[in-house]
Amino acid sequence: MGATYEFYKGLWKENPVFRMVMGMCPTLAVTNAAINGVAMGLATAFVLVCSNIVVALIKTLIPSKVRIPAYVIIIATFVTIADLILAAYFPDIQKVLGLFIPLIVVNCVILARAEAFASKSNVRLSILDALGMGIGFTWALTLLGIIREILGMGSIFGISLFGEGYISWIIFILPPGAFLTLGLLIAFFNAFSKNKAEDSCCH
Amino acid sequence: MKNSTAYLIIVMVVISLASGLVLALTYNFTIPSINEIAAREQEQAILAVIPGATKYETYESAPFPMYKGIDDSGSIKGVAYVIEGGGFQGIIKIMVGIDMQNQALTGIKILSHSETPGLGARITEDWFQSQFAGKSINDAFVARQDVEAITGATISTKAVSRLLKESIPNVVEQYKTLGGGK
Amino acid sequence: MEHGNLVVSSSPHIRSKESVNSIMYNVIIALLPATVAAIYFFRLRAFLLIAVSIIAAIAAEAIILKIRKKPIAINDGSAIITGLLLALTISPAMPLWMAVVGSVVSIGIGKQVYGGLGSNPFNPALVGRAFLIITFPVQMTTWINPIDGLATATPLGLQKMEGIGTGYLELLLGNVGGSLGETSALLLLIGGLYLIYKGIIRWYIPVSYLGTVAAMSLILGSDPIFQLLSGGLMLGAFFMATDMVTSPVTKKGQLIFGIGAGLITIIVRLYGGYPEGVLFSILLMNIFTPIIDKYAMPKIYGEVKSK
Repeated sequence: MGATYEFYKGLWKENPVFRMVMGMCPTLAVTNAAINGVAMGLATAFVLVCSNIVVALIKTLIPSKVRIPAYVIIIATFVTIADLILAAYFPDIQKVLGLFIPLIVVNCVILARAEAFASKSNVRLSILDALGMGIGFTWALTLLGIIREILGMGSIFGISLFGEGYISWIIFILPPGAFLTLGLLIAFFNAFSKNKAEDSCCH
Repeated sequence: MKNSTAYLIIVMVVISLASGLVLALTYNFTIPSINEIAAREQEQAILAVIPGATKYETYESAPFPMYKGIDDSGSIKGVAYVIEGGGFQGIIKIMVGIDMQNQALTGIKILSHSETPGLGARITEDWFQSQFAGKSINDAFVARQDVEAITGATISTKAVSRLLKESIPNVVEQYKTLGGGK
Repeated sequence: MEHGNLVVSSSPHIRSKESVNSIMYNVIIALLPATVAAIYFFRLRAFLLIAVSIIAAIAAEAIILKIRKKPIAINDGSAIITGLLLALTISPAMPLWMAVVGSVVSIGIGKQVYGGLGSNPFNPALVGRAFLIITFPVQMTTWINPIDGLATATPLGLQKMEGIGTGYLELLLGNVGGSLGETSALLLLIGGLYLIYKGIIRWYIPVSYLGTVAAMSLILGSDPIFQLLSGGLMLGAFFMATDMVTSPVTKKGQLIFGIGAGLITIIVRLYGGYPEGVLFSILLMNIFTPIIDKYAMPKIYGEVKSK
């Protein structure tokens, strides 16, 4: 359980999307194209790293009675920063992700890492934990986005794959397609993973 | 001491103040760029629906967003306005350009919408938007008759046509009360 | 009759191979008139669509059962019915490969992911159709006229979008645009009555379903006979809403189910974005089936005893 483990666990063993099934709102809502998955994943990772650092730094100063409101203010601050930066420099992505950027505040992955990890660890481990979780979240959203974009629009990162004649499977860029893709992916990963029951942290 | 009410309040106040400070700085840092993007997008949309115009002016006294497009020689090429209303799933927002001299539409541009991807969302495609350019403002705008409908998305097509038909008389009226081309 | 011959009325279901088989084959017999009519109206195209749907459904069932390491029970006829029902609900203009997609989704996502026959909360054929209508809306709503083979709209679509009515006789005989099996109300009615006569289904769901649609269209100022004869209502009311796995088991529960489905159908038809609401009405009521069963169960025992 060394420092490297704290980083690696988020990539697969405790992957927030595929293993812990957390943060489902952005996972399902914005992954209708690969680029949206990447952007949402990175924005979440940014908030995750920043909030984990701050929480780990000031954890001893925060009384336990008000720790959740304090974490929420910290997280909301970084979410607003992410939203402003995206609006100023990546307006197209900010428009597509729209409401779901502010909603990172209520992404349970972030509060969960602050509460379950950063509030009990030092800054270095908290950064590693946040990076691992953030990258784990990003690749999961990107994979969902890639699959849904290929089927739903016949393209990948906006590059057309099959030419004009491709008949889009529209369901995959609509909300039901998100549930179907996520469900089938989790089933697929579970089929190839041993000790399924032990791996999942949240019951 | 750590669990006294005063300490709780102090901690929350300090965290909130720090958060406010950081956000104020970020806001100040990013707002010029955000405003610039918004202004640029508005200009692009207005100039796109009024061909020939190179700059625009806002009708300050109009009750809804209304602009006049002006070309290099200073003459008015047309009037643009923003109309929004219900589509199949959500609000459709359209920039419309009208040539008041020739009583014709000069173009429309869908600014935002939440229609079904692959179906209603095709209202943003060029062939659909460009068919409105040149239409008389007295047209009936009946989907499938004088407006070419999108296959499988009759409701979205009708919504766009209805918005145009309903808003045009208002704009013409406003244009007259605002003193026409002066 | 509504109390006799009830092989599958009470839960938990005790099934023997024979009874499942005979039920399934009776359903297929009941669907034959509409199937033959579909082939008569739409010729080779209909035959190919039906054949491909059924074969794909059976193949998907066999393959998934093999992956799940279960006995390959494809000769119980359930996959055949799913494939056939799906084929009857799709447009004759559909490409064949889309019918294959629909069948695979019906069997895979509609049935096997829940554990196979008897465990599925939704009617598998309708899951497949819902997938198709959302995935390929253009192809699913491109209809052809059975007589001249030209593009047309369904009577419900004409009524809703353009305000054009269609004659009763045409609706009854099937001389209208529509899915393969929904064009002729009369032949579906004959098949449905055969199922009731054989005791495979009870009359509660079809009668309460159709009755609610008729009553509500009267109240809301629509033509009840037109509403009854058009769209997939007959097919849905007799063959899909009555699916014994996904509908309530008691008389009271089935009446509630039928009334609910009727209400949803008429609301979608008159006020919704889609011209037809049978598909969604049955899927939505399928969700309520466990709750209906839970609350309709004890009282129905009392009623039955008192008779």
